[in-house]
Amino acid sequence: MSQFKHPSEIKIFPNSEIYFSVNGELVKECYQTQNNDQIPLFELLPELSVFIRTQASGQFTLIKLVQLNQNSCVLFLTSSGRIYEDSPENSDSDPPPDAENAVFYKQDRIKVIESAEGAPIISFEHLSWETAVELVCHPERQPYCDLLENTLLFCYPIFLKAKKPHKCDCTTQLCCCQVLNTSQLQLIQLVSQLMIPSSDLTGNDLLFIHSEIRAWRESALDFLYRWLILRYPEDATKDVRDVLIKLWQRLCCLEGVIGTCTIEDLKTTFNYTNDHEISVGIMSQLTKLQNTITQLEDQLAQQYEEETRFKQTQQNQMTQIQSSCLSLMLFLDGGRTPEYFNFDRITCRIILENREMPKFYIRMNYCLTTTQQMNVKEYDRHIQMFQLLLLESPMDFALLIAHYFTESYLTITPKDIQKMAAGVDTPNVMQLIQRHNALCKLIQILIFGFSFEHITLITQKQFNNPLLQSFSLQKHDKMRVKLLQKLCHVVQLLFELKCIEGIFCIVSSLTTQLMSRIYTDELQQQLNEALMGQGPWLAEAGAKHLQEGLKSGSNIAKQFFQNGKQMYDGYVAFFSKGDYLFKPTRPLEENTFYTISDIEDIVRQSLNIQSKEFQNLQAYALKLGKPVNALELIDPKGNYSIYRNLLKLSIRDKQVFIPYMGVVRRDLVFTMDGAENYVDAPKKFMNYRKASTLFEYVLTYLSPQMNFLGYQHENAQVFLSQNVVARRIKDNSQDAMLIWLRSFSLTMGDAVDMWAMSEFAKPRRRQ
Amino acid sequence: MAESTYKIVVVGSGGVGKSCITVRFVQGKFIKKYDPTIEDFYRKQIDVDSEAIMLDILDTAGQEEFSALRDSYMRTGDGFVLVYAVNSSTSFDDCSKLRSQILRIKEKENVPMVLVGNKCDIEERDVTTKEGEELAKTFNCDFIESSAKENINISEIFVKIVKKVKASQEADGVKKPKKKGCGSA
Repeated sequence: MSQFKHPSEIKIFPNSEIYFSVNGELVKECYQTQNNDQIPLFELLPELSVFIRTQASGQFTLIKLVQLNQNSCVLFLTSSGRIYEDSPENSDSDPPPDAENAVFYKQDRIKVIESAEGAPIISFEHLSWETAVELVCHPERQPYCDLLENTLLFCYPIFLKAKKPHKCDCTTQLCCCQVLNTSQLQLIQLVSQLMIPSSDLTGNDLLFIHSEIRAWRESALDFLYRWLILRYPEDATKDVRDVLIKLWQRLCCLEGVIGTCTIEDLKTTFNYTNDHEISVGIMSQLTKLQNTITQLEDQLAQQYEEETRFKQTQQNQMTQIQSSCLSLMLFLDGGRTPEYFNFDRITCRIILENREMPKFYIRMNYCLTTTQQMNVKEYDRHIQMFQLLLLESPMDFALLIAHYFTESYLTITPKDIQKMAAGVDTPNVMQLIQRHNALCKLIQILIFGFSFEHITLITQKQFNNPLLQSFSLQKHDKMRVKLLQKLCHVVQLLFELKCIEGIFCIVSSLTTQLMSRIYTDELQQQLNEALMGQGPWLAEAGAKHLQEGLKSGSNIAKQFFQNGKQMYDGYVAFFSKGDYLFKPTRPLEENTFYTISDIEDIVRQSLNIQSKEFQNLQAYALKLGKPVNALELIDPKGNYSIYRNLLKLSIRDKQVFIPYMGVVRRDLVFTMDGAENYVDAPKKFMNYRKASTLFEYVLTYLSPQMNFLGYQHENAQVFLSQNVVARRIKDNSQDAMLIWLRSFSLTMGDAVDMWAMSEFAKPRRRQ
Repeated sequence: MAESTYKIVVVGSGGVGKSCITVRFVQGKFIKKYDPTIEDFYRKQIDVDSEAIMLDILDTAGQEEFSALRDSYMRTGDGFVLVYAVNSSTSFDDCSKLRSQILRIKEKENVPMVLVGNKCDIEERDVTTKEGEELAKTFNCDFIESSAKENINISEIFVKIVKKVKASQEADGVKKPKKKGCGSA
């Protein structure tokens, strides 16, 4: 047993029994230690745990070993997550002291650890729990170390060689236990022990998980090799073999390389006739697997380099201005064909497929969440601006909404989700919900045709029906149809931008009963068709209604839009050093292109498109297929199955994606309420399945954050040194509409009773 | 076997135990392997008056804050389970608001509804049983007290609401669902 020195070896009590637990169920005794025995232990997946039961006490102890990388590993010793909560007085059930062989037995006597060959042995005898916590939870290592509050951290000497965290002045060697690479296990524990006051974890932590999982795979492969070579089949019991096979199957699943297989599969597929051939066969497959992993890692490294190179490119070749100009040109000649409608969608796709979208989202990091006080007149003016932006340029409107939700989504951290699961909404979560509701109300206000001035007067009960005073009914109905058309188009564009939170917001606000009651039957039918991606509306929806919009709009808005360039300049974001990220290369008035081929040329030149797919834009437009059925997308039918599949695909394809928060909130509530905390309450075995499920939700909701390039590749040290994401968000005072929208969400939150408001709108004609 | 599907919407303030009621009903008990993301998770068949009824439960738990979404939930519901916690007078007061919202959305004066006082196992109450009954009387709906924790009256809630929906549909002239082949009385 002692012929190899694996870093995950550990001395345990002699005459102890080793158990494996799969999916929370204990496998019966499978290995008994001898004196001075060493066993390799490791943790691959949350559902596989290793338990030790000492014969002296009969008490189970759960051991989790996390291999961080080749040079470091961390061993978590817990029992139901709280092994050390017992007081020293209550030590009857603890194993008897044994200076020679004991690894640990009580909170005030910790002795670790058999080292790798040549490395010094460290011992922390008489180290008190408080001291250990103090060492491990050194304030310099915030925000990570308090995760370990209920978990004692052991380290191997070899770990002392690990890299020290930046800015850490801690003098003790235990400092090296800094969990800079936050492990999956820690996150599981973080989520599972919801009441532990923990620290801010950020999206970057999820990045680290990937590297750790790679390390785990290596560890798992290494373990399997060693076990099979050294132990199998001579002294392994059937249970051990079963566990190994399960491990092997799961590893195969994880890699997606070979697929699941049973021992029978191995026999039939590879013509193995006996156990020896199986072990040899598995080793051979492991070798292949190892090679595949190496290849995958090479590809990942290459991809990382490409992304880094891309980030360093400061010039964005496709500008928003160009997009808007092209869109304008297209619809000036009265086009109504599918390719015209699809143009904005293509633009969005091109941005995405050429990885321009992440660059767009870089802007998120340079916006400030400020509260700007505005008076009623200013709000009124902005509502008019918002309305005309929608009428004039749905593309810009969609980008604005995507921007608005993204800057909120990117501030959500695992801690926020953790708190959410515990029933507490953090400011970041509240902000996102507030924005969602505010935009719903804003859209409804637009459709009602109110100004902010009207709203204020209505809420103060000082105003009569504004429709009678400021609009003729006929004109307002015409405007309403146009706004609804444009919103349906915006929904399609938001789908291309993968801003699903925005789609839920707009579609749900348009389909509420308080809105439906003001639609005529015909209007309702057309709206439903358009939201389902059908009907004549969508064919028209991309068309520009600037002229009509100006005719119908107020004088204030007309004045604002007199100089179109002013509007665009106002919307173009500044990059960090004051340079334009999106440079307007051609002023609006200079565009004189009216044919599809001209436009193709512009797009190709602008984007430097080499791909054959883009060589014929018209054909590509026709290839795009049907628009998305937004009503189906937000339908809770089948437990949001369509939305869930879309999210899965986006995560798989590493797309930018702004998920809808309501679904993850729902899943968290049901999992927290529906699953037990312990699989065996008397023995206090923690339900790691539940923790793992919660962890999956955190990962699923936050994974798309990593695809926002600016967020992902920020300077890690700066990132880690600041807990509050919002702090590093800089002001973008040029983006007037965004600033107003942010301010609007704070003002409007839940202040306005929309139903009362709707009483002032013209109701539909009843049949 | 022919069966009708009723959409039952569970509404109430946050933290009153809506999800616990749903879990208890759908799953029967609190379990360790639990995945609320599966497609059919919120569907369950029950027998009421010897008829097999498939319930599609729309639980607003976790989404109370998204007001516009709440509207679409309510619009599609055939029957409503209005839940408050007996130890929370605020949640009790919210029931009136939620009911009026349901009536607005359904554009009806009477909608199949059951008022549920949850957490009845808790001794320190803010809302008495009598208060609950009186409110239910003003709502013209059934009233029941339950405990998801102790599994008290959970199935009864859904049986009551199904009966209400059936009665309402029959009154509205909706075709009666087919009976099971050999159901006992």
